[in-house]
Amino acid sequence: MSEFLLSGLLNGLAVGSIYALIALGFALLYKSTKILNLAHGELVLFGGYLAIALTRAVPFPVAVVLTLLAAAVLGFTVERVIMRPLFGQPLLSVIIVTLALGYVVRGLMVGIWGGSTRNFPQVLPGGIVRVAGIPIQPAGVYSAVTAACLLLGFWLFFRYSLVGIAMRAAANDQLTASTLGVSLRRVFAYAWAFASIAGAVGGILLGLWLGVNFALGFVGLKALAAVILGGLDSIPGAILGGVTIGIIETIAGGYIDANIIYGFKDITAFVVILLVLLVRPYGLFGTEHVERL
Amino acid sequence: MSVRPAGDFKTSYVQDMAILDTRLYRLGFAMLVAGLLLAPWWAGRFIFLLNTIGIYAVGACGLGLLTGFTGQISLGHAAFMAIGAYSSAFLSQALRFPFLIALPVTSLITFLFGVVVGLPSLRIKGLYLAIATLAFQFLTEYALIHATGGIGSTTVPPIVIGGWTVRTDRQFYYIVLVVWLAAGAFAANLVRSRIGLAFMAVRDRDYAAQVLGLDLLYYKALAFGIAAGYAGIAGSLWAHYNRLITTEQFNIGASIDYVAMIVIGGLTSAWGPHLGSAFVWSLSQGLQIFTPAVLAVFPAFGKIATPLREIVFGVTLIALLIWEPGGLAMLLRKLKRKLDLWPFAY
Amino acid sequence: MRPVEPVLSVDDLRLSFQGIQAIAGVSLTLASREILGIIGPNGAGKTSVLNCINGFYRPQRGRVVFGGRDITRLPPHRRAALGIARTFQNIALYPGMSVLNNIMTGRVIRMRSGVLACGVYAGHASREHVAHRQVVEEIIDFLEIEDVRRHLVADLPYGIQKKVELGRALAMDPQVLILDEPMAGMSADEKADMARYILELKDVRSLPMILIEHDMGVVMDLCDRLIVMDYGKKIAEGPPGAIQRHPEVIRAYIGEAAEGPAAH
Ligand SMILES: Nc1ncnc2c1ncn2[C@@H]1O[C@H](COP(=O)(O)OP(=O)(O)OP(=O)(O)O)[C@@H](O)[C@H]1O
Ligand SMILES: [Mg+2]
Repeated sequence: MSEFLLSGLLNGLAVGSIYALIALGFALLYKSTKILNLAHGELVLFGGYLAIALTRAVPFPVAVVLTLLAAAVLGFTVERVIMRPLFGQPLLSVIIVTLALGYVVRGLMVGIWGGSTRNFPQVLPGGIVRVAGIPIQPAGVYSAVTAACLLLGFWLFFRYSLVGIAMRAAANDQLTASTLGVSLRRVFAYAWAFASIAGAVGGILLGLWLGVNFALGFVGLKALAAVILGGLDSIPGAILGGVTIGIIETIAGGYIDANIIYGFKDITAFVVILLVLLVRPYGLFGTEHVERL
Repeated sequence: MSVRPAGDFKTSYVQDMAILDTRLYRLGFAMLVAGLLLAPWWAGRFIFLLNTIGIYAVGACGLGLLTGFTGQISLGHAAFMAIGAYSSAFLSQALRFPFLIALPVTSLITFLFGVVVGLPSLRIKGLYLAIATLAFQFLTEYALIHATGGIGSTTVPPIVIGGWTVRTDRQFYYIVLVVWLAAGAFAANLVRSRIGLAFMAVRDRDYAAQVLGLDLLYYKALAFGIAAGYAGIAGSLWAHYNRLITTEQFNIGASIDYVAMIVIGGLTSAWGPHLGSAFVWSLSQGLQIFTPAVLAVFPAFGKIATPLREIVFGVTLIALLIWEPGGLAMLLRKLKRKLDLWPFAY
Repeated sequence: MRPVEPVLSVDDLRLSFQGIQAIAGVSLTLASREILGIIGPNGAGKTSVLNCINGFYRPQRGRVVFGGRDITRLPPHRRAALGIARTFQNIALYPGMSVLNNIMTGRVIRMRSGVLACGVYAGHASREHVAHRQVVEEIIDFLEIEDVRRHLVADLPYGIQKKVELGRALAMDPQVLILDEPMAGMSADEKADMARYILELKDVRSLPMILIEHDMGVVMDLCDRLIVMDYGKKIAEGPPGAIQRHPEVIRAYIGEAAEGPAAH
């Protein structure tokens, strides 16, 4: 049992770090644009599929770089063509537009790559590694390490780069930031590009591990769940939310699935979130918005 | 030469508060109802489309009250529809309830579910609430799969009203139409009554609703209850129409579709849910007819027929909402204003 | 003159937010047909007192008594239903609704029709609605905003929004009206109008009021009695004339030249 727990913890941590990365993109976009992106899952898929397709033609690292570039371009384009005209429009209208965007991206992908599961050619060493005596797939280890590095990279970027600082300012208060000379357009464009890059990396990592298929689009909802669990306005919360969901899902879901009833894995996370929200309505690290009367 | 008054003049408050407040509206509505009554004669095989539009419009009416008028985003509306469908199936299959009793009982059951689900909305707000309702959606799907012994599907007997068994799509259409009109009228009335005022007050500024003596918990739970009641009616109709229900018919996708419908139709209009349901279902049906036609001309598109539909659907929604973020009801309102003032610009 | 039973009284109120003492033991009474002014520099705790009266804040100590009943533990909506109406310093209307519907909302608790009756909207529900609409139209006439009744409040200028908010509070048929800076940001003409409405409410409807206002001229003219607050404490109380000469008050206002009590 304790070995089961430990293995669940490690595997969960690995999946969770990918979720965290995806959730980070999601939260970043929300924080700086106040847009809830229901197409995020499709952006993840896009990264996975494109990288797999490119790997047939060019070496894996090149494929990854090209994929990230493509993701950034996609993000910029979406912001420029679709989101900018909707600036200041009602929240729900904008959310539904992102949903429709998801349909379009998904349709394009099915049209180009078909609907079946795709796998990367063998780019990582096969076999099983042991961490603290627990067997785990190498892809899991790579994923966790890559996600951790990227999270660190993002953090440094927002802490020290000019664009990052502008984005944080805008996230704090759009109006004040724009009167201080921060270009909101630039910030929004970057936010979309980053969200889309973070999603694509998540897609590649998940793809290396599990292969890419359309059921994976569901991770968009999981990212949303992770962000809510952590608290919408907290980036560290989103990361922690992602890791937590990965772990819970692997341990509790795996245990219940194996021993009690099948099909519970995907909803465990949501049950936990529901319980957390009942106690903390603003997530684990979110702050309550207090109205001064 | 006769002089036409520029606009409509009202001479009493009753007239002023009427839902169909101009002659143009009343005429248009009368023609619409007449057209709908005669639909079996003109709609041909598309009568099933009207049935689907009607059933979903009923459900969307409920979500419109909850999200559009009370400001509570729900991603679990299809779950209430599911509860309605399965309750209705159980009531008429196992307990042999006649439809005319099963329908209101179903709606009462879902109303109660809605109230319970609505209780946490006093503390959980906005997008957090949306995710909480999403959790409810998944839990319901899960519970229903297990309640049906792991299969998730069940059969439903046809509607019988006083010895008359409803068998064809055309017969069923009249049931849908009656329920649809009644449900739509009920929602439109609620919106202009004290309940609607209270809902909008809660939506626009909750603390300012409190200082007017409105109990937030009561009105939020009530809005959830009513929304769920509507979804339950839609679910019951859907169950009896399809005669075989599965949990997939009411999955998260259906819940999101509901949200899309009310947004496309227009969130703050009593017409919105109807317009939205009509638009979404007609578009998807239209694309289903259109794509084979395109394929006949360009067989090379064969592989991408299905994705093409999704792409066109998505692009249409995006274009519509960029053009008019207030949805179809807002478009119609602007059109009406132009017509009222025609031929002058102002 | 024999002392009248106060309509509203607040007894030794104390409230702090994470260490900040917003109210440090304030007591006050409001007699019927009286306009009580509360003045004091920014951050003195005036609004916080109102929030304790209408239930948004729970004081750590003290009591609020309204109509002889202890309401300290009641939630805000129950207090409103008992007859305490208020307006807000930063306008708190419903931006997505018309002027008419904003004010109409004030009548909701006076309407009795149930949910089913409202959905059917025949007979009593409809008649009731019309009757209340009439009351609302009278308020609209009183406030001279007939021409904007169909406008969304979000589209209206600030001064008119303030009027609409007053109208909404009046629509509740309150026993007590609490006005938090009803004239802030208004032009001189608009202020004069607002002052006229307030006096008329007092004279014709005998409505007791608590009024917070920074414009000293207005306060001196309208109020029967004044309370001065500073740093969460009541530093003076009395008729306007006496307050103006009160040494504590003058000291509290030094450095606040722009809003000093030496009005007129
Ligand atoms: N919800 C709250 N949370 C924390 N502190 C608060 C809160 N409400 C008020 N305060 C603090 O309590 C003190 C009194 O505030 P209050 O709003 O009552 O002052 P006021 O006299 O109305 O001032 P003004 O004239 O600026 O309206 C201030 O220091 C304020 O910062
Ligand atoms: Mg104040």
